[in-house]
Amino acid sequence: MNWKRYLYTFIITLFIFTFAIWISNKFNDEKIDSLRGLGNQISLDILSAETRFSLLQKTSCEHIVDQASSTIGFNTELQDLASRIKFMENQLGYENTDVVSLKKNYILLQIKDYLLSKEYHDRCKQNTVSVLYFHGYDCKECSNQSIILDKIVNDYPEIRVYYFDLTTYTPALATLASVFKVTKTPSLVINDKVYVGFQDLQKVESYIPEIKKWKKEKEKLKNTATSTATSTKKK
Amino acid sequence: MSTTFELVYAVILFLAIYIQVFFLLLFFEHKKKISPKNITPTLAESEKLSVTFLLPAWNESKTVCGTIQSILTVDYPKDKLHIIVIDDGSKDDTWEILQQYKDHSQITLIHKENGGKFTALNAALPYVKTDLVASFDADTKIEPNALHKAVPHFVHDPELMALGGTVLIDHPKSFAQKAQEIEYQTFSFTKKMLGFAGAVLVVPGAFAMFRKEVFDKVGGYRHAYLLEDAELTMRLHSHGFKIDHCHDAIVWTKGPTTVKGLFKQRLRWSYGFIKNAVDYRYMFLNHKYGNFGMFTLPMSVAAYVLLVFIFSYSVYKVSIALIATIQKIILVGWGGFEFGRWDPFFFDTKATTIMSLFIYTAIITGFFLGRYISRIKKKNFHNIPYFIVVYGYIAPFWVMKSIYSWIFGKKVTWR
Repeated sequence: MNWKRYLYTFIITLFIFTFAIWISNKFNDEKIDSLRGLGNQISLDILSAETRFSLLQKTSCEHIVDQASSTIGFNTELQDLASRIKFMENQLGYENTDVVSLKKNYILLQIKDYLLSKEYHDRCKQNTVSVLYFHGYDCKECSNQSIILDKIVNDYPEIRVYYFDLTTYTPALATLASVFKVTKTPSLVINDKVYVGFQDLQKVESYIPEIKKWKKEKEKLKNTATSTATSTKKK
Repeated sequence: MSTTFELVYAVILFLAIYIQVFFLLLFFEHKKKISPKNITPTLAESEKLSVTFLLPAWNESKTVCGTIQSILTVDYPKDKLHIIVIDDGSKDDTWEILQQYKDHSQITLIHKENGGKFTALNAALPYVKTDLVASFDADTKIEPNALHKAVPHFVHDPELMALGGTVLIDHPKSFAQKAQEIEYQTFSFTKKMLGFAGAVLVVPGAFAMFRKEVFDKVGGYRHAYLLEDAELTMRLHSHGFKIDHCHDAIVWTKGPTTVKGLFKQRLRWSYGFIKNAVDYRYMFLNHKYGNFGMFTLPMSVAAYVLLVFIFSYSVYKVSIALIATIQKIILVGWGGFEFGRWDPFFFDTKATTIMSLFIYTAIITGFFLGRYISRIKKKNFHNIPYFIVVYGYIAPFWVMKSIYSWIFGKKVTWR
């Protein structure tokens, strides 16, 4: 019996095993780095917008409104960051220190974006709707609520939904929660009103009056599109 | 709970990688012995020993003549090739059909009461007067050069007691047969490697050759929970006899045509293996029994555990994804399904996934090496999906059912 073969096999298997772990760590480190980079980029964008606001203190909103497309840009960037962080959370685990620090960073970016869009709304009377969504970890109603809010974001990109995981402790989040006296999850804050517990799709839409308007506009667009189509038919 | 699961998963992956590496190491160690530039034996050598084929038959009226003809057309001196056909109390006209051979010089016919395959084989053994005995199955066809390939092994190695042939699927038509075609080609690799290590798992009942004296030394076939070929192999290992695999002695079988039939067959194999392995458990991880005890037996058990574990894990993951999708539909209707973005960021790069990738690659390599070894030229890669479906999704069930039957003492029957 050739004992050496068993030993060699064990050594090679151990090598493959550790190599897989090593290369997996390398990939994950690269991904985390890319997320930090993304976070930094967003941070810079927010800082830049804040600076512009301060510069144009009392002057016209036209300058800022012109740049409207650039502020809406954040929302998709933040969403992209959110989905990537969620993926890393699945890969590395909820308690992973890198994941937690990325989440804290993301929470701060969201709060800043919220404050910015509030100022934009107040000063320039622009129609941005912000929804603050406080959820927990491992809470059944929260995952249902997330599904509903994802749909809303998909249908109406003008609405900004900020996802706050209350189990990730960071002082700014605690302050925000206390401002609106949020203690239970899931909780929604829309137009400074707090709604506790799971809200289904119809309820959420009813809390946002602008949706009715947008729906009508979309219907109109659809109807004009079809009517112009029929009018161009050859006789 | 999560960390114990991760630990178990890691151990299982380690074992799976170990098994694949072991086989690949065997291949690199011995690959010179496979290459076609082998020293070809002389004709005298390859025809030196006489052979008797044992052909047990039960209700094989449609196939028995084809099988007998196939054996008779083997390239071998007529005076050194005999066939004993045993009709194990067939209810159809098998015995009547066999009468056409009653005066044939190479064929002996035996009729007996039905008692099962092992009784039929044992009934024939006293009539064997040749050097070698070959067990054979009724619906199988043999390549004409098979004996020229197999016999030299016995001539060159006086210690060789048993030799397994290579079984391949003949013109697969049904779903189950296509899956088996690929499976038997991977067997060609694993069996050959085990042969190099003197650790063959089973010399297949479809075509296996023994020195006659083997039966005098260890006794005849046993009931062995309907898996007499596996039990005999284990018994031979327990006596320290040398067993090898002949990669170019090829026989063709049809295999069960329906998935249901395949399930029944494999259930019988799994159950039979478990029961026999329990009987021979003293050989487990016992270095007295060489690589068979140290590798083959533990590997087979590990393979069962692996299959059940991986299957359960995938079922678990798929169920979770399914429930989440249903939940989504209930809450927001059908729209809004995002298809996965083609962004490398979202590729699964967990360590366990990378290890699984290695294991699948190793198995596919084994498949191609099996084809290389047995010089299979026919391009049948389009049957690989059938193989994956049967062995990924159906095999775990017959394994689980056989384990269940063993634990709860239920009997598993033939047909």
